[in-house]
Amino acid sequence: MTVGKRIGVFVCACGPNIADVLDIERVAGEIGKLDGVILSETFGLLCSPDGRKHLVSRIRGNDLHRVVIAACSPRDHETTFMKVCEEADLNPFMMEMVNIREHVAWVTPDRDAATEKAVRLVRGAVRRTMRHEPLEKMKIVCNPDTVVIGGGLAGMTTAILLAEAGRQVTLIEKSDSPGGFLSGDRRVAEPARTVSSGKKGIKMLLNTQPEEIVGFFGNFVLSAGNMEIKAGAVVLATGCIATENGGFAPAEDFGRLAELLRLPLDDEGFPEREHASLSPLATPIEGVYVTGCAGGPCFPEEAVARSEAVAGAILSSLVPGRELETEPRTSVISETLCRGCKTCLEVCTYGAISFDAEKLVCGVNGVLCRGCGNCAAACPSGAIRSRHFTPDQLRYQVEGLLR
Amino acid sequence: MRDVLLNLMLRALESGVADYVLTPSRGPGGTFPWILVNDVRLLDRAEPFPPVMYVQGAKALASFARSPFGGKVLAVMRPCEARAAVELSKLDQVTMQNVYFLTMDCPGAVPVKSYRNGDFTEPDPGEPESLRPLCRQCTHFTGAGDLFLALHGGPPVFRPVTGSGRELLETLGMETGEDRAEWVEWRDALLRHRKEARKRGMEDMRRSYTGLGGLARLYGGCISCRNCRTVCPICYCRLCFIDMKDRRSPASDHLHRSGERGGDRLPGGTLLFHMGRMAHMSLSCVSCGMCEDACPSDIPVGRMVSMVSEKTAAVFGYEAGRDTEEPLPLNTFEPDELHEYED
Repeated sequence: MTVGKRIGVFVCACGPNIADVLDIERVAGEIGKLDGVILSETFGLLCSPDGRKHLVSRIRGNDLHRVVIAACSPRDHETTFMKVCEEADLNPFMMEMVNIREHVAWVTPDRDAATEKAVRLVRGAVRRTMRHEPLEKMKIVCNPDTVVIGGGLAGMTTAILLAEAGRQVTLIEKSDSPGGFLSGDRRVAEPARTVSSGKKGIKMLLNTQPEEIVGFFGNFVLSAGNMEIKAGAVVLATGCIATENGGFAPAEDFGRLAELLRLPLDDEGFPEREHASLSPLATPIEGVYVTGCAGGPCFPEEAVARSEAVAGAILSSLVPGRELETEPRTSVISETLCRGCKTCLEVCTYGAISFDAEKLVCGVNGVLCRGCGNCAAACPSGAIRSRHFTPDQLRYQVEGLLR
Repeated sequence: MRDVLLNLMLRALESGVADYVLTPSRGPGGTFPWILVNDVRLLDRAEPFPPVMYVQGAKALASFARSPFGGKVLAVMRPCEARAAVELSKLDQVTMQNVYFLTMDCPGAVPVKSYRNGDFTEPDPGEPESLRPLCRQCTHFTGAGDLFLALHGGPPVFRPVTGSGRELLETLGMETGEDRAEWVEWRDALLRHRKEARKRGMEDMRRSYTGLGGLARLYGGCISCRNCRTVCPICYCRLCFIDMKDRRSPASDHLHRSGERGGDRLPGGTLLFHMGRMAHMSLSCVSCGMCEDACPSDIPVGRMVSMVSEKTAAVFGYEAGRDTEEPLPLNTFEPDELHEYED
């Protein structure tokens, strides 16, 4: 598909944040002179409802094919402006944001220098946008199932609660029976019977430990033995052990498990949390939860409470039928150029690359790839392209910046 | 000494220790092509000590041994060739499975140009003037592969390096005792001498080619033939970055540069090519000198890459060709390293 070259540039004042430090009218004026830029203007606050409405009407009214928005960090509002583009029937990847707030206004106090810097950054974006291509997001339906690792009181409670709500749960236990630390205690007798019964949507795997975990929220794939278990969420219920000096540490194999998940750990080896008080059972990895003593030592009643909370969090976020958008800014490997040296495999943190032993080349799983670009940078053969970060696009951006 | 090596090849084939022998041979017109020998009668042609290096041994090996194969190969090559194979194996370009590497106290090689002109003497570490510049400063002239032939300090004798080298010798009923003192003395003396020569050579390079101006002078005579890349055992890409379409500068680039500076040198990218190669392969450079020998413009490309390689490898405590288990630094993620280069 060929897309036209009509570019519109919008410079945001961000209230006083940007406009007070640099001359945004001059930025818009300078950029307006560039080839292909058919409109270049300023606005008070583009992310406000009025600003978004204004953008939609300007994009539609001027038949813009490409848009540059000079405003804040893409971390703040890239999604906002991508949605604006979609509303205006413009492929969201035809838009490029330039961060003239954090990268310019907040760090460059001199008015002239800041203005010149902003002009260069926006010029780079304009030249880059000229080489943008529309990308299509794919939608996959999230997997509502859960895999629980650890068959102690906490793991069993989580599994039973989820199963009672009609969810499929795979419960993985490394020993030959459920029960965990409280094995033999009457408090775990009933749940152990329930999870062992095979009813209620719980599949229990004894003598099993995960060997590989790839994927992300809504789409995890866990390998154990010859099995592949697919799930939308992962619950860590692996317990803890008392140390010789009177403290507590995570279970013996927990470090390995954390490595499989690329889960960050605190100083004591317990998993870090998304937020200590607001989200105390969610880990920094979306869709991975921690319950029972795996999150630090606790009494059985607290373990049950934690498990109830985790089950609730999963039931409310992992709704059956929920669609997840896959990242279209992924990497692709050219089979013709790949020499199969597996360098990319080493640097991929998402387990998205595999080696084809017959063709002797590597390939990317587009659903697992998050588009970080590590592989493209590492490939010595230049056989990997990061969509939306092609050498061509980057080259023109840098050129626009420097000239 | 040739006979001793030929004899081992023969015994290896006859006893079934190896099914094939990979060795340089005597080819037509005074050339030394690599051959993969299965029939012992062809061993007559083997020339494990050619005075020149036409094709790097690791490249010969990689041309057929990319993935595991049936049968065992005894590869007879120079230490730098066996070390290049180690690097290629880490990049999955050659399999070390079922390959025994037999090396020797390397006498060095003479430049291809001198050899073709008949203007050379048989390589001899004692007479460095006849050797290629990188051979003169080579510090890895022995002890590579699974086993090697010690030529100095007494009659030639095979020495094991790895467990499988020892096994091979034992299977053939050969001695595997201690290194003899005279040989150790010879090795240490030559090593001292070579280290000194290398230091002097690197100082020369640094003095002559400092800074961007120095590099521009060094590579000024490059005719862009890319011979250096073609003969390099480590350069394995199907398509070199420098030849990729999207890395080629558009006309506007050259016009702009010409406008800014009044003129632009064409074709561009000479320095980028040489710097790019250094960035891509210098960590795995084994200083075999193939690139420099192949340069029609007599640019000391090999000495330059070798010098850079020594420095970059030192940053990671890495040594190319030392050990198949030593991970390539650029393929290894260490969250906590290189703080001295921060800010």
